[in-house]
Amino acid sequence: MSDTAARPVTETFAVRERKQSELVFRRFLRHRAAVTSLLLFVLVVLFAYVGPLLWKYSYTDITDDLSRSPSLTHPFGTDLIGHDTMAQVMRGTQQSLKIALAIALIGTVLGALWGAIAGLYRGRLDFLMMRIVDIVLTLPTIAVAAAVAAQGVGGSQWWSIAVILGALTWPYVSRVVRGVVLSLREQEFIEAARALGAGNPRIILRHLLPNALGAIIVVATLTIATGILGEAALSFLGVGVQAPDTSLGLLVSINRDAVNTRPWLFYFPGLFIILIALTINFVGDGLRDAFDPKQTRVRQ
Amino acid sequence: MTVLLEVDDLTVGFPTEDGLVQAVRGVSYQVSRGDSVGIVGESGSGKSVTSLAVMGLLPRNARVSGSVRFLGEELLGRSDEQMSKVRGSKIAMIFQDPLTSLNPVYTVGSQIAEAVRAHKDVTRQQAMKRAVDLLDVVGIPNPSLRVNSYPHEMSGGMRQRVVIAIAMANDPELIIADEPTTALDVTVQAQVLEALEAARKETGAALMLITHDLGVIAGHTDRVNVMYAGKLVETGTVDEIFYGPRMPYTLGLLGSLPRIDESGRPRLTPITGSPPSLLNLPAGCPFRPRCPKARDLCAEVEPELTPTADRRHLAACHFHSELASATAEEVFS
Amino acid sequence: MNPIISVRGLVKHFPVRSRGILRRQIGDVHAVCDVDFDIYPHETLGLVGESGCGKTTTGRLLLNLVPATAGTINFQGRDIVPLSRAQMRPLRREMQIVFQDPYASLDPRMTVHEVIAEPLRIHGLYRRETVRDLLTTVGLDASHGNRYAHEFSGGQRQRIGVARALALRPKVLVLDEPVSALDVSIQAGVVNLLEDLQDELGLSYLFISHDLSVVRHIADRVAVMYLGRIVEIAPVEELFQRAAHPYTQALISAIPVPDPRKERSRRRIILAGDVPSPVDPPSGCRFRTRCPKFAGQLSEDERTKCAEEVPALTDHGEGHQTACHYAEALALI
Ligand SMILES: Nc1ncnc2c1ncn2[C@@H]1O[C@H](COP(=O)(O)OP(=O)(O)OP(=O)(O)O)[C@@H](O)[C@H]1O
Ligand SMILES: Nc1ncnc2c1ncn2[C@@H]1O[C@H](COP(=O)(O)OP(=O)(O)OP(=O)(O)O)[C@@H](O)[C@H]1O
Ligand SMILES: [Mg+2]
Ligand SMILES: [Mg+2]
Repeated sequence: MSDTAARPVTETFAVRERKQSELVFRRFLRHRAAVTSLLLFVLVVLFAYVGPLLWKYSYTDITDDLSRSPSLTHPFGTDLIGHDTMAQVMRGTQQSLKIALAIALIGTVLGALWGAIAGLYRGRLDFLMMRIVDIVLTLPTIAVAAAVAAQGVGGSQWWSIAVILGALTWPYVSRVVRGVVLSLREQEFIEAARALGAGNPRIILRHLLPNALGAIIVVATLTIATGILGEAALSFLGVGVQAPDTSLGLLVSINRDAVNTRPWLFYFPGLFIILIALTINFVGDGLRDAFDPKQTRVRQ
Repeated sequence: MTVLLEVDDLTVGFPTEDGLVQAVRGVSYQVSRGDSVGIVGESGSGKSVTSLAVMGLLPRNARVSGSVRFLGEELLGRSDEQMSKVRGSKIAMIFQDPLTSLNPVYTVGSQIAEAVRAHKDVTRQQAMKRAVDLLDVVGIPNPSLRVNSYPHEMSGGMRQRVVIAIAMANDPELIIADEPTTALDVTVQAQVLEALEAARKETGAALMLITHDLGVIAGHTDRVNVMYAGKLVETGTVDEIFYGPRMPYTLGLLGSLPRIDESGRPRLTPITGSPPSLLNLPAGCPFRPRCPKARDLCAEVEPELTPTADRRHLAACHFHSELASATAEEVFS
Repeated sequence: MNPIISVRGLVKHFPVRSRGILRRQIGDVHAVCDVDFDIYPHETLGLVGESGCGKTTTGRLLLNLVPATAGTINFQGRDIVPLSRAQMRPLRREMQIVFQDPYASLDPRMTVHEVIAEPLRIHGLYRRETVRDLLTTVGLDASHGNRYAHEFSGGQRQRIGVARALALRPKVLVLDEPVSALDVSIQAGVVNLLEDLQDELGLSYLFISHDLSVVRHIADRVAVMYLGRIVEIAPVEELFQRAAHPYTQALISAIPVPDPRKERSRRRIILAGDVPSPVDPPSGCRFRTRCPKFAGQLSEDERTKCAEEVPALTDHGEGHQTACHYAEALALI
């Protein structure tokens, strides 16, 4: 073979570009609120999952201390029967996080596929799929979820709540993903795949979704925050997690009458709900800025 | 001949997260009145940065040193306000994208007329009439109708010709054109180059033409500066550069061009590899990794521009005398 | 010899829609209009013309990537125009395409190995060694497979694109401006590679380009397009020595030659005005609005014919066909 073809061109590009992931990571680090939130969130997760291993009381334990205000033995106080509130908050956070993650997972997978299909096919199918999205979006989420949960589908298993809420949050994801796919589908590498004979499933799974990953991660994060609040709302309405198990929403709900008499019972779980929702939102914000290539300087 | 522009040891660096990008590393050249100088080089070799430095248009973070004198006056270090007096009137700049220099909300006629009135004390009507004349000079059909068009109503080639008309209205001493035809089709490129020639004839301005098209250089300039990795690596008259290049890079560039004036299929001689990173240039000649003639000395000492056969034909190669009558095929394959 | 691919009466209209929510169709872009050509085995047909004249659309039509409005494309004894996407799949092994933009045409999320493996996986032919062999064939290091495309230079990326297109061992390769985005010194390497591959694998190329110099170098026959129509088609030497269509003549004369003496003494035909909109192309001969012959030499009666009658491609012998009522051969180089 000739000289050009035989001699390997070994040098890579002169000014080596950084990997996308590396750039995203750098930009994320510059977003202070997001980094602080991420740290706080990690602490909350550790508190929920490692905390119970170290803490002397379990959430099922009934102590002799009834209705104590916060002290060294019971940092979050105790309730009427003698449950240690900190142990209960740990367990509640665990359950709430688990449910929120499941909601995000279901909502994201469903929404991403739905959005990618609508964006790729366009035309009538897209129109139809997006009208369905509009309809689901106009539903009063909590009311519908409460109604379905009250039917007792799947008992009151934690996953049944996740499925119900996940089935109501995917439209947000699908809208975002569709938008990204609409611009991706016009790119030359998609046409290149077509020319190679790739079918739509391959184009969606191998090209569109991986390239939309940044946007998907961002909405998925925000969906976790929605999930935490959704679970809390359902449990508050009494159709979520059932005693003897517990969740943050359930804790707030059963202690709402105590808000004036024994405020710690209400405020500690409430604080955790807000903390999780806020930190996740900030992390999502930070990720969105980090994935945005036009973003050169991030607000401090 | 009076020296119009004198660039001396111009150095430009951009601090970035990865370190200092040495975009221009000690460039010196002169442009005399009425001269036509071409600058060629690969993408990223520093052609645009050099001319932006002359115009004082570099981003604020750029680190500039050296000297740029226009008619004897130092331009580097001037305030923006002082520079804008020179820009537009004494030196006109034409960019690749004409939209950057046209105002979208005014008609092209009023933009040309404004330039006319900035330099001559004439009435609005006289200025408008002059605008029509100028559009005619740059070859725009129906100029009396076209003066009332807005930039977005024109094609890319027409806009570029309007920019040239504005430059002419300013009666500049020097026109710097940075890839004025790169985005255009060949037939439109021919129109724009013709307009540029007309502008030169009418104003007597000197021209600095930046392009990567050696054909355009061959047809429109008298002297040529070849840039590589932020430095001038060869400078001389067009004939010297095209018929007797003394720097392997120039030779390689000419050898890698397919020619419309040659029949048969002579094999092209590509230059292997790619240009070096301007971030941390290794010692020695920047062209060494791609140069088939490289020897030990080339890895140690970066060659300076030194005179070859002619006093004004300079080449930055330790072994330029060996290239005296070499062909690209001999050297590169 | 029988053509490997035979195109007859190919037409492609893109709908133009109004702005706003209704988006009614208000017209058609006549992107490709009544195009006929053949490609023979082991031949390179160059397709040249200015931006927007329909070159890319023709290439896409050939691979059935966009549905044709009318016409037939005969490949291996059958018309592929009516075939569905699934019916086309086995034919994808025979016909491939290399895209113009070496940045946009490779999926940024895939490693080079994955990019080249994709066609093999789709057709169930994947073997690790095949991918490594392909990388070597196009002059890249087989160990670079696990890198991402953005870690390579433009020329290297274009080689990756070529490797991907060759993976299925096609017979016909559509090359859509494969070297236009590359610096000249890099361009030559890719051109040589394409020539070698053709000799070795016996490929047929449709080589799309707006650069006539490259086309003269690589093509066996050349088709010139203007506003969706082929205006001239001829063996390469014939076309460059005896161009007979006024548009081809203007095109050839506008290409700058990198040779100062020749370039300065050349005859240049400068066209007036711009390419008309493909939404509302001129009646009769589409080139007449810019044609120097129409404007300067023809009588009133002759012009009427240009305006009313679409000139058909007519043969002048030697396979030289011109679509001009008043074609006249001219030597321009
Ligand atoms: N603002 C900037 N910050 C950092 N680096 C820069 C900046 N502007 C230019 N550079 C770098 O300086 C070098 C020279 O750039 P320049 O624009 O002069 O190249 P050029 O020769 O004009 O190339 P082209 O033919 O592509 O226009 C390049 O490597 C470029 O990446
Ligand atoms: N998908 C599309 N929808 C509408 N119009 C299109 C589409 N694709 C191409 N066109 C139009 O068809 C005409 C021909 O386009 P095409 O891309 O084939 O030109 P080209 O010769 O390849 O040009 P270039 O040299 O700029 O690549 C143009 O006017 C273009 O605007
Ligand atoms: Mg530049
Ligand atoms: Mg094209």
